[in-house]
Amino acid sequence: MNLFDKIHNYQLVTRLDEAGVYPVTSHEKAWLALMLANPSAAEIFEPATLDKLRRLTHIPESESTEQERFVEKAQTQAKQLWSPLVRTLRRIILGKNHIKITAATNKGPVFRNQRGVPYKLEYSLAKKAWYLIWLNMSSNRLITTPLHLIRSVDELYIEDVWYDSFLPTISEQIQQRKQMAKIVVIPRYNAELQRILYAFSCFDKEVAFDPESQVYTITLHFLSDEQEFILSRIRFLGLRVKVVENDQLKQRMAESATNALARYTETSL
Amino acid sequence: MARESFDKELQLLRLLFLTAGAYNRQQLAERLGISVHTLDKTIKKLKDIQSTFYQHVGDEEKKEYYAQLRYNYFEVTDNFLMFLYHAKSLKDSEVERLSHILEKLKQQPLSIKELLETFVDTEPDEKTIRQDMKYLEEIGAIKNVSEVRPYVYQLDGELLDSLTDDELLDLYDFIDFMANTQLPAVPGYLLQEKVKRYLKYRLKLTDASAFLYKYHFVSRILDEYQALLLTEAIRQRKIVEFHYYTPKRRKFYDSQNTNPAFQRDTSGRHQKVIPLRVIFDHQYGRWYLLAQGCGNGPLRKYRVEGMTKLVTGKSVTPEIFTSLQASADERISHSWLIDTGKLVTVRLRFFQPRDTPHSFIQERVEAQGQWGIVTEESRESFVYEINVNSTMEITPWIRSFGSSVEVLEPLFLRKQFQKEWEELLAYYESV
Repeated sequence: MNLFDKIHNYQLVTRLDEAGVYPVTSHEKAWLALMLANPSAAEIFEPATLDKLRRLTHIPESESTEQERFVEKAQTQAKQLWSPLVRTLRRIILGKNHIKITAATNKGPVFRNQRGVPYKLEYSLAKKAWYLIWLNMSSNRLITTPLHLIRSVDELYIEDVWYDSFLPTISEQIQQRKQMAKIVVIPRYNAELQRILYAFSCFDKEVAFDPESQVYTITLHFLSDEQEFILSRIRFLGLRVKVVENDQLKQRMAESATNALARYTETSL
Repeated sequence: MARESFDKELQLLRLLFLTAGAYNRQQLAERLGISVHTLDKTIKKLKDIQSTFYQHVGDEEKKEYYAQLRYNYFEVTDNFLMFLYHAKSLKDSEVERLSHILEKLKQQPLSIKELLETFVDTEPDEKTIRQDMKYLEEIGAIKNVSEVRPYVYQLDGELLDSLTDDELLDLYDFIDFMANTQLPAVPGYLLQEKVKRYLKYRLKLTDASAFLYKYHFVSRILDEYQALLLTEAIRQRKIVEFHYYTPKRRKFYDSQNTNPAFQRDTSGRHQKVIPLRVIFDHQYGRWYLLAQGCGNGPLRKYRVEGMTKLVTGKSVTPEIFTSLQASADERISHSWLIDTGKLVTVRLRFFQPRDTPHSFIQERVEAQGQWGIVTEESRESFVYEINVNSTMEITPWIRSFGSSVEVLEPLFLRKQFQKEWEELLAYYESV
């Protein structure tokens, strides 16, 4: 079992691609068989397709019954891996059409029959939930709606050109929401650098190192609606890191610390 | 020929990815324990693969010294570290032969003799072709379709060819989702790459991706190679040997010191252990190995990223192995991650958010609180309780809730939190 196999060599893959040859290896089939055993497969595929795939990936002499599994720790439990809306929406996005959508919001109120441009489906590994990123045409704002709050979606057929004409607006709005923060690793924790960098490795970031002072500075790039998650990550690391640039984050950390401290100073035990 | 090892490339990519931009060439080379010259060669090789594979690597980025290891979340939907798994070296003549064989077998089933006749300019000898065929059959790319000699072979393309366009799209989405959310992922990503190219070939779909994955520890795939070797060793109850670099080290790797002018101390320590469990930690996106030293030592814990030169050795008896594994499982049954310290009861009061009907704090505690339970509930707050091996590993998780949580027990942890928040407040007081 070797992941670095000749058949995956990049020159060979590109050569075969030119010839329209796509050999699937038994190793890949075994992986697929393992994934098809996951209960969510039944939500994703039509029953006939699932049967077909299970038959095609069945490797008689496979030792998959003996499969040594990894132990996973500190996993976020997902209520549901998949949503039937994913299938519908991904096809609308692929077909470059508009949607008419009715959905609730986390704050409560429902908006009805809004016309919009579906952009991407996003899955958050932190929340284990699906979201639709779409442009609301009446407010001209980019919105992220959790799929479980969507009551109904209809497809409105339009010309591709018209769909494409909204893309600049969407990327402009994404650009406008981009934020930046600088976080330093407190040097006395430099020995833990690797763990700290791992904790930030799910963000778009750059790192700078000053050999003189031995200070590592992490520059994070994120969208404004990701601020809460970033804050929870910074609190997660506690005294190891300090926000040095981004007033909003600094402000929020100061509030957090003040309020948390108040929980311990008023003896509520 | 020595077996090609990718330890160096893996460590380099990891270092580049984690410390994006922090080090110059000298510093990188020093941390990898290789010469700057070797570093340059390795980077060049990686960039070559990357730009062959990914059209989105622009000319500007190709010119830059380092492989572009920052990616735009909204532009690149692949796991962009995957290109490394396409790095296995292959001679040009072999690329030539293998692609020729597969192309011919795609057109029609052929025997080895017939296949030999299809080579026009170069005539490889029969022995070489037989070896190629044996390899292709072993990996499942081709299959023998005749009962009797001479054996006739054909391309095994049924999986993709037998699906309708709609089914193919579902399959692509399924693979994409599973590879990005489940373990192991690398075989899934390799398959995804294939299905993506196939979709383009069959449906002329240039961009089939509609999904984005947020807060994804993409670098977890860099350790999957070792993690899978280790699970394989566990399945066969085999002892493993490797060189281990503790994470507190400054170095990630050491050259093989084949060049005497380039002697240096190796800081990796040689280990020989019985592997028992491979653990993935979702909090940091890291891998661990739980193992028993040969000769009854304590249970040992290793971070997979610190392992190089991993080889498997002899098997141990099923009885010994089973009892070791069972006792390791017992030891980590109450570990938040892998701590095997003393069992302690942690009680926490969580506060429901104000001015929103959405009880997201409770949702998060229920989703992430592992085997802990909620013991009291009111409109304003709820109490959560868990028995865990020492408080060290659960502490960051508790702290991430900020002022939405209060530690009730144990008392020492409560005091620790009070002190930590005081010190943290000092970080930001001048704001």
